[in-house]
Formats: sequence, structure tokens, C-alpha cells
Amino acid sequence: MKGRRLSAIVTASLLGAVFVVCVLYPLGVMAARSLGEEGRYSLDRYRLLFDMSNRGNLEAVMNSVGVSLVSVAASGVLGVFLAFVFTQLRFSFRSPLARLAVLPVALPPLVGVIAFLFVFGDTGIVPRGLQILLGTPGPVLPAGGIAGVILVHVYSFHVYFYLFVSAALGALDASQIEASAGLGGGKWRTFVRVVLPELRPGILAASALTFMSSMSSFTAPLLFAGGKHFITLDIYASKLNGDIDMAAAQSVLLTGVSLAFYVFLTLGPARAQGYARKGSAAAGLLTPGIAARRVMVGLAVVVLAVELLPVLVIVALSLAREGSWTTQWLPSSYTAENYVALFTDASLFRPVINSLEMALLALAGSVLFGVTAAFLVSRRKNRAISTWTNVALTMPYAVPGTVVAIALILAFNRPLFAGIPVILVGTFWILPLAYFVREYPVVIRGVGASLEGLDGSLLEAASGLGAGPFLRFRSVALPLLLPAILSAGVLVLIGALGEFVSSILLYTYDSRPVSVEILAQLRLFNIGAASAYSVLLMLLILVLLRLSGGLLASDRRMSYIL
Amino acid sequence: MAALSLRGVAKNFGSFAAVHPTDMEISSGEFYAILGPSGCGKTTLLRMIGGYERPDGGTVFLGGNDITRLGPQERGIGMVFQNYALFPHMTVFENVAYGLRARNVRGDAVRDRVMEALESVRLSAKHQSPVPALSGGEQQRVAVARALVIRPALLLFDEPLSNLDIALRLQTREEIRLLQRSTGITTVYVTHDQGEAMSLADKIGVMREGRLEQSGEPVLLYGSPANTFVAEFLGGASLVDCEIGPARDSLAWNGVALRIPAGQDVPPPGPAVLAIKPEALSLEENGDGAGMRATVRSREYTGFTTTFGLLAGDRVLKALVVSTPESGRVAPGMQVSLRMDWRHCHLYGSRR
Repeated sequence: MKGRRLSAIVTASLLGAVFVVCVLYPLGVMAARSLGEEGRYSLDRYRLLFDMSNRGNLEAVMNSVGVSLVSVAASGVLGVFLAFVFTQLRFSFRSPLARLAVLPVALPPLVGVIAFLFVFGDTGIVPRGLQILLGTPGPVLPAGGIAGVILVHVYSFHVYFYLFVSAALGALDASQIEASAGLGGGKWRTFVRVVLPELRPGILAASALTFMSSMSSFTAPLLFAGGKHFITLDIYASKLNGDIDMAAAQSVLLTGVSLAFYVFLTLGPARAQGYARKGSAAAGLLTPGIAARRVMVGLAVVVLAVELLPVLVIVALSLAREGSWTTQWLPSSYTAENYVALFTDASLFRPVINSLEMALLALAGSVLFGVTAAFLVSRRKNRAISTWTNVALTMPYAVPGTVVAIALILAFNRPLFAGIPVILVGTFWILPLAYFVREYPVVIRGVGASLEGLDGSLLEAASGLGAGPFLRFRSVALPLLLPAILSAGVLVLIGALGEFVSSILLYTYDSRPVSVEILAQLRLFNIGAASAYSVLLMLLILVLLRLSGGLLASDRRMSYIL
Repeated sequence: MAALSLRGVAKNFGSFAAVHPTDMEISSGEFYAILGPSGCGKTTLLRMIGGYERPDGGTVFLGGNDITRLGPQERGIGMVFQNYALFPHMTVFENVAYGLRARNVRGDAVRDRVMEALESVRLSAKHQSPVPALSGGEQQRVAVARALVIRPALLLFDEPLSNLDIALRLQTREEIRLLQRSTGITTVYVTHDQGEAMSLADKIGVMREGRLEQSGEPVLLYGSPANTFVAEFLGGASLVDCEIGPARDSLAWNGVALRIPAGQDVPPPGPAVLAIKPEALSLEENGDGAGMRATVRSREYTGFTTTFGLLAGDRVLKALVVSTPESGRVAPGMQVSLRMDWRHCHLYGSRR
């Protein structure tokens, strides 16, 4: 008994130390730095930030908030529509198409944005195609500027709505709907009074998540916004201009907004009611008339085609001969040399090795830390304490990648402890550290949700049969949690392999990851090389998803982890 | 010597006393049922015996040893959980073998003992089945085999039949009884079903609101309930307020005076409670009315017996009679006169 408690305390202290050093300390240093340096503290940075005469700062806030609000609304409409079509209507190829619908969430952020750029951007294939088709002087309907950013956001974030709402729709108790019908409620009344209240938590959660993600979105504004101000871009700019104090203040501001939404997301009404409910799933009970149904399915298929197009285009471009896609609609000549170069030129292959190494390191750290933390938190009997511990531990989930990078730079650009002269900034190690900080919350959330669903009497039964804590964990808890650990682990790998937002601030030439290399190639107009890297990343992710047993099929598990 | 004895065992959840300090003695080989309505603390008491809850006070002795501070894995007690708590990722065999492997039993001994245990619940043919493939009744039997195979000093059941349908429940009840008889393992069985407790147990402890109200053999509890709660819960008695006469040989109820026959336990003169078990009342359609008249409110015909709800004064009394052509003519709304068999009635000074 005593030994058990001691080992629990030791483990908890170790975890606490990791959390303090990797998360709290960097964020604390950043917050302090935003007030100034070396005892000369002031609110000057914040005054400057909120100075209404400074058009740039004002514009950044307006753009970030405005774009986020529009992104939430548009993603919501699209995501709920798709969820409805794919859970409530019956048509051929429904389930493979449903899987396709979550594709954008599996795309690394940079790859998604670049692919989108190639298809719908100024010189993209669709605007140019339409130009040729219609004979207009310029590209038709190119996506760019603010509208482009919003489109990219909707492309990536509507999946949240899709996942949350289809999970909620799938968990709807059919008998409720039948009861409403039996009591004389028409289809519309049933939808508004019975179904909608059940979807509300899911819609709220997806809205908060989308708002958070849009606010911290970096890649889309970077590539689409054409020099307009966004908070994330300004942080990056401040850092590049050497004004790290300002970057810190902007980061604090952005983090505050994000964290507020995160606390709402975790504690608010959104997650309060569990989705898991007994009763048969209510598929097909809300079926509209046949004509409406055909229109809806048709529309959904068009949406999916638009979703798939960027992926197909990037595959095509990866096979394009360098320089063969400049003014043409489609590349004029094709070759495998981009791939050959990637695999034969050591300096080109280096980023792939880097990304794999760093992602595996982040994976090991995240699984070790996340599983143990989730387990310790779940053992706390006091619900309030365990909930708040959970919120605190998973906080980095809500910290934008740009901010994570700034905080790590500020914390580790000098020796951590007086006695240990290690400076992490400028080394390889800062990147896996950043990936770890960004990704481990996924493990805690996924495994935590699974632990909550784990029948406590199973562990009790094991102990009653004579199993000590270690055997209980190994023979009962671990096998039952394995699916959750696996899918969380795959998400960690996916996130780390394609990580771009923190990397761009932390990388060195020797430790550059694939994402940074993609951008570099793009800047050199090596579109084929950039696309080949992107395809490689996508293939890796696809393989990982298959290995994890079709994560995309399990909407409900995803909706817990996200 | 008592196989299991509890001395002042108590448990609080926050400010709520789930189990007040409770004493309990269970003899070796005995089948003891803890009976009570939901929320009475019976499961908490059982979990303290098994080591799944730590008592806030008191001592648990198993075979004379103080086991209060031991964890479940150190007690060697078998437990059958309400939801069975079978490991879903293991086969039937692996589930049953779990306790043996945790005890470092290896090799053929594992196989022999597991198969023996499965044999005893008639499931040896299904030893390779995955648990989710089993029916509810089969899962229940696997849970019993898993608890038995470790040769426990004590076997605990937490409402093991509540998830089974009625026919299966009766059959399984019988099997548990036979198994307990043949193994002779001291057993504590928690249930809220008095029929289950009566038919299974050598002794019953009736619990309410965290207290053990009465403990004893079923015949004793049924024949001489210690208080109105036991009479009502175990005997299904209807309770009516009455007034004991000064000579303690009559009582006044609802404006009628009734003679109390000799041999009854009579509380002091003054307000009292009369507990009337359903079988105490018989109906006479046009009887001379040895005193009591009642209006029929309801009739439940169940074949061999019929249960009537009878409004007498401001109380509805339950009457259970053997169905006859006469009882079949008694319909709701009719006036009847009641006869009372005092052997199935009990008097108490107050409600408890």
C-alpha cells in the first residue's frame, strides 16, 4: 500500500516537472517578456497593441476575428449539411464517400493550403481552366486575399462540424424521434424540437474548435492573404524583425482568446452531455422527399469532388516536369524525376529523415506522458479536481503553434538551470520539443475519454482476483485502452510529420522538416518538388491511418479526441 | 467460529452516511443475503467486505484475521459483480484463468482448474468463446466460475440476477443455490428482491438507510419481523395506525374495536401500528362483518391467487387469497367484510 502511494507520488511529480518545464515555464517567460525585460516592466507593448491609431494592429485583430467568425458560420453550414446527408440519407457508395468527407482533416496544414492554392489560386487550375473555357482576358474567380483564407478555413474546418454532428446524429435515439412522430409531431417539428437540441452541444463544440483553429491559423493567411495583417502573421513578422517583446505581447493576446474558448469547449455545455446513449441509431428517420433528397446528395457529391480536387492536382503536379507549369492550364510534360531526385539526393531526402525522427521522438514522449497523465488524472475521485487538472494539462492544445514557438524560443534561448549550460534554441531538439508540446494533449484527451468509458468494475474484478496494480494495468487497462492509444498516437504522428507553424520559427538548416522544405521549394518555384514532398507526406499519413484500423471510420472516437 | 464478522463497520460519502456502524456475524458455510431497497447501503457494505471500499470505521475479520486494511487482491475473496465485469478482450477460458495466473499458478494446473470450474457451471464447451458472444445468462455463469476458481474463502454476489429475464432468473437462482451447497463456500449475496433472498439464504440481514434492521433465518424474519419496515418490506404488510386499549387486549382502528387474541406481542396502551400481511385478510361478500367493512378498489388475478386492494377507512389494504369462483365474483366497487387472521398480523409501538 505504502509503496504504491509512493510510486504514484513519484510518477506524478515527474509528470508535473515535465509539464512545468515544457509548458508553464515557457508560457510564463513569454508573459513576463511581454511586459518588458530585466525589471523594467511596463504595459507599453499592450498600449501599442490596443492603440487605435495604429492601423496595422487594429487590422490584424479585425481580420483574425472577422475571418474566424465567417469561417465558423460557413464551416457550420457545410459540415452540418454533409453530416445530415451522410447519416440520414441512403444512397449508393455512401460509406466510401463518407470516408472521403473527412479527408481534409488528414491533410497536413501546409499541404492542404498549397494544394488549394494550386487549384483555386490566382494561377490555379480552375480559374485558368475557366479562363480558357470562357475566353476571358484573366483567370475566372481566383480565390485570393481574405476570401481565399476563408475558403481554405472552410475546406479544413468544416470537418469538425461534420464529425461532431454526425456523431450526435448517429447517437440519436430512434425511439425519441418515433415518439415525437407518434405524438403527432410533423417532420419539421420533430427536427426543431427533438433533433436540434440533441445536436446543439456538438455544433457548439465544433464552433468553438473552428473559431480557435481559425484564430491561430497561420499558413492560410501566409500564403493567401497577400500581406494583409493577421495576429499570427504579425507575431511571425515581429519575431523576424527582432522585436521579440512585441511578439510576446501579441502571443499573450492570442493565447488568451484561444484559452478562453478552450475552457468553454471543455467545461461548457458542449461536452457536458455525453454522446454515448443507448438505443438504436436513428439513421434514415428524417428522410426528406425524393426530389429534395436527390438535390442534397448531388450537392454533397459536388462538394466532395471539390474536396478531392486539390489532392488529385497535387499528385499530378508532383509528376510535372519542373518549369512545365508556368502559363499553361495543366503541366505540359510529365516525369518521375521529382521523386527520383527526392530519394536519391541526400540533401533533398534529409528533411524527410528529419521529420520522421522528430515525429517519432514526439510520439514517444507524447504517448509516455499522455497515457500516464490520463491514468493518474482518472484516478482522482474528486471530479472538479480531475476536470481542472485535465484542462490544465491539455492547455497546449489551445495554444497556437506560433505562440508555442515564441514561448519556447524565449524560454530556451538561454540555459535552463544555472548548472546546466544547454541552450536548446538553434539545435535539433527544440523542434521535437515543440511537437511534443503541441501534440501530447491529443493523447490525454483520447485516452482520457476512453478511460472514462472504461468500466471501473473490470479493474475491481481484476484486483479481487488477486492482480496487483501493475498486472491490472498491463492485462486489463492497457489492452482495452489500446485502440484509443493507437488512434491518438497516429494523430500525434500525423500532426508532427506535417507540422509547419512552429517549425518555421524554430528550424535550422540542418533540422529543417518536410513542411519547411516544401515552402522553400515553393519559393524557388520548384512546384514539382514541393508537390512530391506533399504527396509523400500524404502517403505516409494514409498508411498510418490504415495501420490504426481505419481511424477515419470512427467518427465518434475522433469527435472525442478533437 | 464466524467465518466473517464485521464490527462497527461504517462508510460515509461526504456528509452522507451510506453505512452506519454495523455489526454482522456470518458462520462458516452459510449463505447470507443482505436485503434492502436501492440506496440502503447494501452494496457499499458488500464492497467493504470485498475490499473495494475502505471503511471509515470498524473492523472486518475473515476467519479471525483482521483484513480491514488489505486491498482486494490480498483478500482471496471471490466476487460476482452486478454487470459481471468480465474482461471483454479475453475468452471465457482466459477470464476464468485470470485469478489463477495472478496467483502464479502455471501449466496444467491452470487448465484443469479452469475446466473444472467451467464444468461446474456447465460451460466447458464454450471455453474458447469470446465473452461478447455469450448470452447474459452464460456471462453470469462465467462470472461465477471466475470467482469460484480461486477457491475463495468467501464468495460475494452483488445483485447477480438483476440483468436476467424472469425465467432465467429463477433457473440461475436455483443453480447458485446448488453450487453453494455443493462447494460449501461461505456466501454473502446482495439483493433487493425479497423472494430471491428468502429462497436462497440461510440467513437474511434486512438493511434500510445504512442500518441493519434485523438479521436472522428467513422463517424468523417473516414470522416475527422486528419492526414495521421489515414487516412491510419482507412480508408485504399493510400498515395502519391504531390505538391500543388500556387493558392491552383490544385495539381501536377506524372506529372499530378489535379484540387482540392472547399470544400476540402487544405494545403499551396508546397509539400503535398494526401490520397486516396480505395473507391475513380474507373476504366475505355478504358476511356478517365481524367488524370491518371495506370497499374493493382493485383486483389482480394471477391464476392460483388473487390480490385485492381494499379501502378500509383511509388506508388501502392488500389481501392475497387463493382464487376461487367466489373470489372471482368480487369486483372493484363492491362492499365486502374482512376477516383477519391474527397469526399474520403484528403490532408495533411506532413506525420504523
